[in-house]
Amino acid sequence: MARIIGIDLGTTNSCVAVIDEGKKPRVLAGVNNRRTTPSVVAFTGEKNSKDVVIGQAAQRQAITNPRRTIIGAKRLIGRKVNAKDVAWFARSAPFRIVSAPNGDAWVRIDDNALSPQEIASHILGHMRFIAEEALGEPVTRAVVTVPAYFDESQRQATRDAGTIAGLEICRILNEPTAAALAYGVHRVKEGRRIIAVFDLGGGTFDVSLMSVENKVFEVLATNGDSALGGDDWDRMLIEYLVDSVFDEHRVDITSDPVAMGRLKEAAEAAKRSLSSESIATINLPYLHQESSPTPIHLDCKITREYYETLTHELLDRLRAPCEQALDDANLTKEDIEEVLLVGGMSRSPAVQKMVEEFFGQSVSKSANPDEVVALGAATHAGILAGNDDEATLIDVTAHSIGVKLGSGGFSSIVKRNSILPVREHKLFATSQDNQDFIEAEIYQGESDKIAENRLLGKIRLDQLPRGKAGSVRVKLTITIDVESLLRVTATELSTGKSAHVILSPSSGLSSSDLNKILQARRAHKKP
Amino acid sequence: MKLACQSWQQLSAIYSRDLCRNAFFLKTNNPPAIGTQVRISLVLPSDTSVELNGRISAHVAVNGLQGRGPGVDIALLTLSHSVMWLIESALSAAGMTPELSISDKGTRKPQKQVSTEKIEESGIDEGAEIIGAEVQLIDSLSKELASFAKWNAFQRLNIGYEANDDQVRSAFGELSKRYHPDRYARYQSPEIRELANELFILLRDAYRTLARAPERTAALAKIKPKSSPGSSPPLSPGSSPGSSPKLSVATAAPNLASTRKAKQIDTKVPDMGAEIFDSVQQSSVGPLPQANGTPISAQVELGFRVLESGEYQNALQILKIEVRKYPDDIHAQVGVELAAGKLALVSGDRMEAGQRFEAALDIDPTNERAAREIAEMRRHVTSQRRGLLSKLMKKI
Repeated sequence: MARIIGIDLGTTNSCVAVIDEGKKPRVLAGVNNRRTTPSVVAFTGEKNSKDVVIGQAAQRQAITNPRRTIIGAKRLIGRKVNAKDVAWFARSAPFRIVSAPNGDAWVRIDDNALSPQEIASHILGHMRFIAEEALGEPVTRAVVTVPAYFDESQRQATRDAGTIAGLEICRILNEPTAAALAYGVHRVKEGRRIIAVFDLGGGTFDVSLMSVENKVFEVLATNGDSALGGDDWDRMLIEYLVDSVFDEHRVDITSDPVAMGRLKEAAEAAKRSLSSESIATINLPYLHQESSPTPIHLDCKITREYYETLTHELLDRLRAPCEQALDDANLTKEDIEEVLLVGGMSRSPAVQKMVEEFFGQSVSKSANPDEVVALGAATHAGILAGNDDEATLIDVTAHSIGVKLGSGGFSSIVKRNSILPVREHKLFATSQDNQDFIEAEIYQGESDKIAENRLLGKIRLDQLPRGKAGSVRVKLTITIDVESLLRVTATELSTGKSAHVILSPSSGLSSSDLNKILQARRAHKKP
Repeated sequence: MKLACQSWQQLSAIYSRDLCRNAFFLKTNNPPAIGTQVRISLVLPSDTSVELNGRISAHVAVNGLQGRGPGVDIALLTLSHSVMWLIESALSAAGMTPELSISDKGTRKPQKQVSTEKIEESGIDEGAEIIGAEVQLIDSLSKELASFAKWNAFQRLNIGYEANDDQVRSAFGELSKRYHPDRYARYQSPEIRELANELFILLRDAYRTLARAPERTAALAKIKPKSSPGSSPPLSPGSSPGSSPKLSVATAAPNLASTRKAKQIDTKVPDMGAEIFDSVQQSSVGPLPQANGTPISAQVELGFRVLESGEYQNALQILKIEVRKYPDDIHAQVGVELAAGKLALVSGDRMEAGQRFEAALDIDPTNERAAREIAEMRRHVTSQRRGLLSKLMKKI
């Protein structure tokens, strides 16, 4: 059976791994032996050209080509443009983010609007290429990781990105689960161990609590914030720098993409150096010239202490998901036997300190936070391909799924952190006399207010028997399988009449959209 | 070297092709020299392992030995009766014997054998074999699903009613290794994945019901009143009394279409059905140590006497009260398991009975009575299949 690769599609960096003959996962290196690839896609060549460069090459030209270089497409994938964090992101991104007809966040390159799925597909395609070069054989199937806190449309959008890249996505795997899988599969030999995986990446934050026993990995609870990551730390610093330029020169440089690109790079570098140094220097000569009488140079020093005050509120946002996960798993901080740090941002001393204080123990840093997720994806690929008949992963749903009530409230049917696959049902009654049909809107989320949750789809059951309000009862059954495929059945109890719907969460791209993209991609490749 | 046998079919194949001629075939491209001593530890699907000793007798060329080569043929030095018995009884428990015994009367089996060999010889495309294997897998998963649907949560997880949190979790973990849909992702047929999903949903529901003590007690309260002798076995409501879960139902399911890779014996899948036989073997191997030092209280003594007299229900009552009063009294705990096991036997629920006796042995591994009961159950099964081995030997 052909091999299945594991891809960590990160906000900032991506990584690909595979299970080798010894059943151990290993990272596949690309050009220059680079083990991770920047998740950067740039459009080069003349206007409206479809020529792309990916990875290091794209990153190198980012400063000179800011409007056509996409960084952090993962933050947009499967999202609406009016979401708060997307608007936030759009403000500081040097490229343009526009609204698709359905309200999805897309990016505008020259005269074309492109879906984030297409952007991500270039990265997945590149990872596939790296794997094929390293293995010397064609690769058609992959396990791709996403943040545990991704909802159904974000997952579906990631799947679509794989399809566009010519990959069959065997499974969308949660990143913290993958990390624990890679970390624990050869380490936990005896007894049961409860591990907390704290995964703070470039754009997302996840915390997962898992039990590892006898090669069975059971996710006990997962929580997080799909819009909180290292980029936010950068952005805090960028905001500060933009403000200080404004204070001094009365010039707003956010409209200057080149300056913003340079600022972002400098902020990232400063953040990194502040992980080990107590002070960082930012020196950007000729940062901005156009709207200012004299060229603006930026030269300032940031102490770690000041940086930490600046980003303090972000740190605070990490605690609530941890509390919630412990609560959902019925565990206390004392039950956690090991804390595993994953994701580039977990290198930050402030984050580590916060985690150590929260869980009351020192953290485990032995895994490489940039590679461990891809290794886990490869391990799981091995399970799916039948290379490993011992390791078993029992994963859960990250979000509750339920229906909208007549009152505008939300009634959950499948609770978050339910073991997958799962089937749950609930009874509903008609709300009007002689109501002849019932239409239920299926939502995903945790809020009592329906507007804060995300609509997944609808199910309608017609020809209900006539009767007084409340006398006709309909059973709604929701089944979710390990692939996150969602099936809904509505059954009227007295007649047994039922309706079935398979909800494929809209990733924003219809199948005809996908076909069009695939055809265009093929046409572009031919010459 | 260690070999794990994935399924009963595979074991059956090894049995009829190799063990019956006192030999063993190993597929390899790099055969060691003829005469090399080999020790094979064959792990049965039930997780029991048996030792086979021998030396390499011949190199088999590509496609030699009815298309099974390349590899080595090993002449087994000794094949003790106990090893043969273990394999034989495990196979019979797994429901593999009906097929074999039919062959004694009719011609069905020889035909079958010829046809499989033909496939091997002509090397017909693997695709056909895979589809055949998948059909078989669908069939067995459907059967398992039907059994699971009938069972209560304890039976689904294959645990005793007294199981604690850790036992519930580890039982679920072991079953997950076998039934999690990820295990079936490799098959082409969507029906297989569908069945695996359904099976696992039943398991996870059982786990959710039993994972924590309060819910477990509540679940138990719903089941217990029904398990008096004569009444229907503890099933979920709606099932007919005649459909009690039998040992053979649990194990009949020929596991995983490993026929597809029958020769590639590199993985093992635990088979829950044969666990009873595991402990049979274990308990019959070593000498039974004497009962441990703690004294038996008068009430428990009474309970055992009542038990001996055949009044299982009363004995169960007496011993249960003792357990409630003195939760640490292992004799009382063992007594409860024994009495419940006897009751289950009376009501025809052999699987439940086996679990109970096993639980008793778990609590007190030195308990002779529990070991005796299990041995009795074993004799019962093997007596039905007596002479299987010799018949087979004559056939070949």
